Amino acid sequence: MTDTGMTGCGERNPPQDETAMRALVLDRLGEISPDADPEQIDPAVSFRDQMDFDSVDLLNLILGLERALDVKVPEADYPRLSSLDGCTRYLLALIRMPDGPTRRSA
Amino acid sequence: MPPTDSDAERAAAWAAARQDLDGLPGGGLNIAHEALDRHVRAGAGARIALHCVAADAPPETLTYGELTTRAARFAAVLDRLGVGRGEVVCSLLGRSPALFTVALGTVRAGAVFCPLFQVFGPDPIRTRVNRAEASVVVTTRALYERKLAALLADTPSVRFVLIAEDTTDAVADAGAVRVLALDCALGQASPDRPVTATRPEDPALLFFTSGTTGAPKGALHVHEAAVGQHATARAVLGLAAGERYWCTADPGWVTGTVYGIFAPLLAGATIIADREEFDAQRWATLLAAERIAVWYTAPTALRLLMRAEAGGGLTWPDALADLRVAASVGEPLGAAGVAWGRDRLGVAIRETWWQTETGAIMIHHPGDAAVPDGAMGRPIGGIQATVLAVGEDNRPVGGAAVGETGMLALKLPWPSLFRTYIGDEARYRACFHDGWYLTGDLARCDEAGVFWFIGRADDAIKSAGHLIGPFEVESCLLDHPAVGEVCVVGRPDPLIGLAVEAHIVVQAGYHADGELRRALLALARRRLGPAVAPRRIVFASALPKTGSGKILRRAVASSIRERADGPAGLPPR
Repeated sequence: MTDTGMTGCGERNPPQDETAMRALVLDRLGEISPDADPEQIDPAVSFRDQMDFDSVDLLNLILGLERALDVKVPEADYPRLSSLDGCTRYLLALIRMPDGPTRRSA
Repeated sequence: MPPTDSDAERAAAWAAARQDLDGLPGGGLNIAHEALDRHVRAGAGARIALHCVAADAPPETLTYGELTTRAARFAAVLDRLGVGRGEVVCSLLGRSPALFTVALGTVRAGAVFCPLFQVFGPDPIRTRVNRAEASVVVTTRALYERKLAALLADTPSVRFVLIAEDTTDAVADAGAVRVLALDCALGQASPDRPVTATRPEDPALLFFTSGTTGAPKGALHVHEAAVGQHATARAVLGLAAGERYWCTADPGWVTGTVYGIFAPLLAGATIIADREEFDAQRWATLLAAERIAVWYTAPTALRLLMRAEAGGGLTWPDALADLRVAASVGEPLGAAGVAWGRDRLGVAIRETWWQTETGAIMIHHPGDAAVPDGAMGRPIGGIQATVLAVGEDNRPVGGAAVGETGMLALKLPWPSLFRTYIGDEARYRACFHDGWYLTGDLARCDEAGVFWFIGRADDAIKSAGHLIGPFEVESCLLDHPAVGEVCVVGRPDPLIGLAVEAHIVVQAGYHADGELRRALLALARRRLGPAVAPRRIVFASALPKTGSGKILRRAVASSIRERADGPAGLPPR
């Protein structure tokens, strides 16, 4: 038996406020880059500029957030998710879209 | 197979290539002289050598004349510090004018330039600095404070750290190590310091690479390598004087230094260097905005571009009218990637194959219909390649039949071949057999003499174009008390080729849970950095072993390939 640590997808109740969304982003970040201390992260600075975080890490983070929220983030918007503030703001706006976000599972 | 050139014909080809360079009086040769002074003397001092762009700072431009002066100043700085010929100068720098100054100035002074990867963690940095017995490390203040300062107690050979791009001159020394501001030292140094009269066989460049076992190997190259670097820059990449050229490789790896710094300057080209990391839209825009004529990049980056495009996240400029040559290195791009390039970039992406040890491109796809898409291609002029049948121990047992997979081997000698693995003569000698260099890569050769890449013969992991030694990763993980056994393998990944994956049997008394996984990932990333650390940890109840108890790495790797549960680095969408 192997345990690969893939976590479940599609939160039934996605975070609705900034605090909860930030916590979710930090949780996903912890799965990819647990070497980063959440307390030390400057939310306004890109992950890349304050810790060892490469292109593949960023892609994995976005894919992890897509799974967790059951949303689809258009590739064109990836640069907007490069920091903690960017992720939080973008994802809150996405799930609050009037017609609902595009579902990853759709 | 078609007939190949004789030894005499190949020797004549390299002798002719050598004539394209100046040389120094009395038979000397210095790469930095050939890359800079030669052009300045020929009247090209005002030509742009380096145009360095950044996301939120104005571009910096240096002419061949200006870069020559900077390199001379850096050589003079080494003189003043008492750093002599043959001593090693490491860089821990990104693409920046300082990097070029240090690389060229070091070689100009007859010292040895050794690039390190910025996203290495402390362990790989310490191992390499110590194996190189480096005297000097040049880095930025941020990297110094984050990574280097804490290591200096364990790197006894290091006498000086130079801090680049920092205007403050008050930098505290660290124990016996003097810490100095690079710009300040350059400002006080003579711009007229002449080129050291190195011989063609004097050491010039040191690059670290990885194998299955043991510490990283430091492949040492000599000034004669300039002959191969120059010839391939012209013949394979099609570089010529003033050609606008962009190499996307990080200077911490061999491509980013040989084809990011030296080869294009040897050809007199204009280098466009981007300080930033990969960003799909930025790259597409840069190709047009900087009027790139020759582009040398990697399959991982091309696949990320394809992915971004397929997801609608990429707006291409109207035309890439200036792009003449696109080439790729690191791992096979594959026929689909080549086809994408033809369609999107308007040029066939030329695949190239070479290694740290070969010092320059050895086999390439010329980008024409004579060679099928997806093939490695044919050897360059002056190089003879073959495929050897190998036994269980990967040692040659004879020639392989046409179409049969075996060890890719290259006929000795050629100018840019490495001259030793520093401190490991036995491993160096093991690379040769009966007049051939054994590449450690598996390939086959078809009836038309076209080579096809198969994979590594050893267990080194090619991830995002970089060779990662499983031993280095396993050693780090074994330092965690919860790890009983570990086997690190490459897991097939659609974007990065292979993703580093650690299979771990947990010691009794520890729980194989998410908390432990995060702790192990954190340990590995902190010490090794993200480029080397596993992307994924898999807990197992046991690992397959031989009768004598040795872990069967091949069996772990093949069990991954057999499981159809998708890639690790990037889960399927």
